[in-house]
Amino acid sequence: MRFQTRQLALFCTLAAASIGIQLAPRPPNIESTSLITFFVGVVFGAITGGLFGTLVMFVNGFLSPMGAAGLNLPFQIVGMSIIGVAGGVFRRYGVTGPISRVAMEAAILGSFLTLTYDIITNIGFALISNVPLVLALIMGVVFSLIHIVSNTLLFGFVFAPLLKAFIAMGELRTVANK
Amino acid sequence: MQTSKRILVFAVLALTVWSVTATAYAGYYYMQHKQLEDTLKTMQSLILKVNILINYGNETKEWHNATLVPIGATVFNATLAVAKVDYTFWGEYVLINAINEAQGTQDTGWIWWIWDPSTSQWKSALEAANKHVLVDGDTIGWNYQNWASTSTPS
Repeated sequence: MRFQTRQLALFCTLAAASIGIQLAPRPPNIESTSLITFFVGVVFGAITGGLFGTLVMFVNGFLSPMGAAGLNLPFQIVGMSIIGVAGGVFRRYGVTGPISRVAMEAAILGSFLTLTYDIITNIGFALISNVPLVLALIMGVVFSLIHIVSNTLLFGFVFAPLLKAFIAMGELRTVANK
Repeated sequence: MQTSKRILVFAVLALTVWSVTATAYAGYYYMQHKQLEDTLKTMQSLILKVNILINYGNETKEWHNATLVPIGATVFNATLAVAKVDYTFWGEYVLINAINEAQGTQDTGWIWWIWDPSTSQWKSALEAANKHVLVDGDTIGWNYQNWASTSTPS
């Protein structure tokens, strides 16, 4: 029971941090929600990670300083949920070996998941605006590139130290024992 | 997961990101190129290319080839685009006093000519520089010469 409370508190803290950063004024497409969602997936597993992504994007969809997501909200939710689920999968198969290797793998996953998220949200935009998908992808490529590069760096430099800290704190027992 | 398999998986993921992004970026630049090409075509339908020769009469000649001027531009407008011109309006006609500091005198001054491609010769101007409307491909020459002289710009 005590373990569950601790986990719940951690989940809520990460959710509050993620939503807080997401809603704060920031340059477009530079965000830490993907990293935190991915990390929640690693800590709590794929299902919780997916639900975390859903929660954060749902709140963001209504309160974002960039404007309400509108009809694109379901696509944002799906995109972010995939990132959370991927965190769970990475926990199962990936979080082993030297820290530099984990960092590099996290960076590659970060770039790939960001690309996947951008493609999904662009599909949403294309459907809503009745624009060909290829055109939507091409027109959004500059923003997408900023998103991918920033998330690659964030995942590469922040994920591994964050993981190390959580292992040291006693979380991620399963991972530490791997 | 086996190390070699794991490396392969991550290599594939990284290459996928690279290839998709690079392709989209190439598409983006292609579209930008097409857009600018269309803009250029529109601009080209609104501008003329003319050649301007300025002969200072002391063996110094200055060519301004493919000078871009708007449709409806006169010889005077085109000259203003390539040189510092001192001029005076006499009613509705302009008189050129100096081009690039080369000042006319009582005996000498600036006369403009137009190249006739059909005869391959310079034709003297019969009107004021601000009255002759240019067409695409025109070649005009300013000649610093004695008023009575019939020497051509080149």
